[in-house]
Amino acid sequence: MLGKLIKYDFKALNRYLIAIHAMLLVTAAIGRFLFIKRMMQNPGGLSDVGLIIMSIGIMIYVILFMTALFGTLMMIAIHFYKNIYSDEGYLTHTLPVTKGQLLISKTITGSVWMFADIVLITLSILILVLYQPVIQEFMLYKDDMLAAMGFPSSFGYGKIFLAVIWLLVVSAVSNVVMLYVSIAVGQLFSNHRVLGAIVAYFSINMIVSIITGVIGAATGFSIFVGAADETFLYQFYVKTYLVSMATTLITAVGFYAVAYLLMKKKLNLS
Amino acid sequence: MKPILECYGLSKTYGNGQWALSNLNLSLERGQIVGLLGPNGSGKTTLIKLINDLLVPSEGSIHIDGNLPGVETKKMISYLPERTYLAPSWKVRDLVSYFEDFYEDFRRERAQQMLEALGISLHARLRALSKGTREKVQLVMVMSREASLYILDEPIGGVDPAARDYILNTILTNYNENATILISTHLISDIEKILDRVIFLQNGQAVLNATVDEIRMEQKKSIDMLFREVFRC
Repeated sequence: MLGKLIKYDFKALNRYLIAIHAMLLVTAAIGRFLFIKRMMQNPGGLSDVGLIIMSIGIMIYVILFMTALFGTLMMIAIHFYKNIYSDEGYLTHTLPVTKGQLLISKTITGSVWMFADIVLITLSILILVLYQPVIQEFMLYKDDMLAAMGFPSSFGYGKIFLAVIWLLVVSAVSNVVMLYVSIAVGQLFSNHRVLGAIVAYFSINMIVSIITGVIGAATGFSIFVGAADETFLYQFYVKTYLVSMATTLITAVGFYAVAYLLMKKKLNLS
Repeated sequence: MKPILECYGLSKTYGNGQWALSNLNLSLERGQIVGLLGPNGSGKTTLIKLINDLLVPSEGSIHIDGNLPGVETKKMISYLPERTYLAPSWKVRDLVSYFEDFYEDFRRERAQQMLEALGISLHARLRALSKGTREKVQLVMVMSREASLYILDEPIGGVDPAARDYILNTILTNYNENATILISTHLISDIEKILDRVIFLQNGQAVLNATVDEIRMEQKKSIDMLFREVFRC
């Protein structure tokens, strides 16, 4: 049954999100071949009309970029709200599945899209800027850059890449369940439930930011105080990474548990 | 066989100091059509939501075929809410597939037959259908399951009298003799002829639970008349 729930949740999310992200990638590709490639070959060779068209192109790209960024968050939230708490909930909650299955299906599908959103947005930037000269320069200085950032020379980019991917995955899940728990909290109000959800989202966001900020500062401070040698920058990265990974995981689990309990015990469809 | 539905000391408050249901005790046998009747605010919808696990009781418990509300009970209850729960962007055939995917007792042929009889195309988008037609689609889905308990909340409220007859007919012809149908409605005179039993709810309590024959024999009244008498304002 979980597989079927996932199938239908993806179907609902895919409807708009595939289109938005496809448009973003296509716009980036058009921008690359129409403008940036020409400018690289012949800087200053663009006519006035060309410049105007390029400005419009940049505007369209930025708008699509923002739409993809916030639209994904919005679509995930709207789908959860509609499917669980609006009239559609009368069907959703009478399917022969557990509340846990409903929530895990929405968490998986939402997180996959949240992660895919970051990957596709990054890809669109890479399509725009990744050219032979850029890559050549990078290859030339990549070891120096690593050293300048304080990593041991043997560290390599592979590990950094993996670490970033992991952090993105965990934050995608955490962001999604934070949306869900906010919507579930909003339902506790008898009126203005959407407004309640928005207020809950910003309140929870603020509390989490303060807590992670304090923990982050404390970790950073402890490392600087105890810094004895030149590896302290590297130690700082590792420790900050582990701490933010841990706090994100803990908050995600906490949000999930609260959202689950609210769905199970406090469901009250209007 | 266990009764299909049992309520023990069932109470529900929404936290405003008022009890939507208070200490309701009820037992429904299989193989009958039961009218759940009462004025607005008498607790009908609260009871129906509790049976469907859409609310958690404040006190007491509900058993459906001996089970507390959950996955097992949802497999055997076919529920028509008073709301339309259809996603407007879907087509009728998406809904048919959805029901087929999730409910093992859903019969696609039966649904297609009924949709055809009502002149509703499988390719129609739900957004494009009138409110009455959407209600019909929903009822077709619900009645195309071979459930043990059908719960119909205001099934004929929004449709014209001609469609009402078709719907009542659909209900009568599409349930097996071991199934129970619980119908909540205000339109008593329209459904009176198909009811076996009625339950009158008032202020969250059952004030009457009798068979239609008993009422006709003892009170010499139709259900509609009795209702108007009991709930006179």
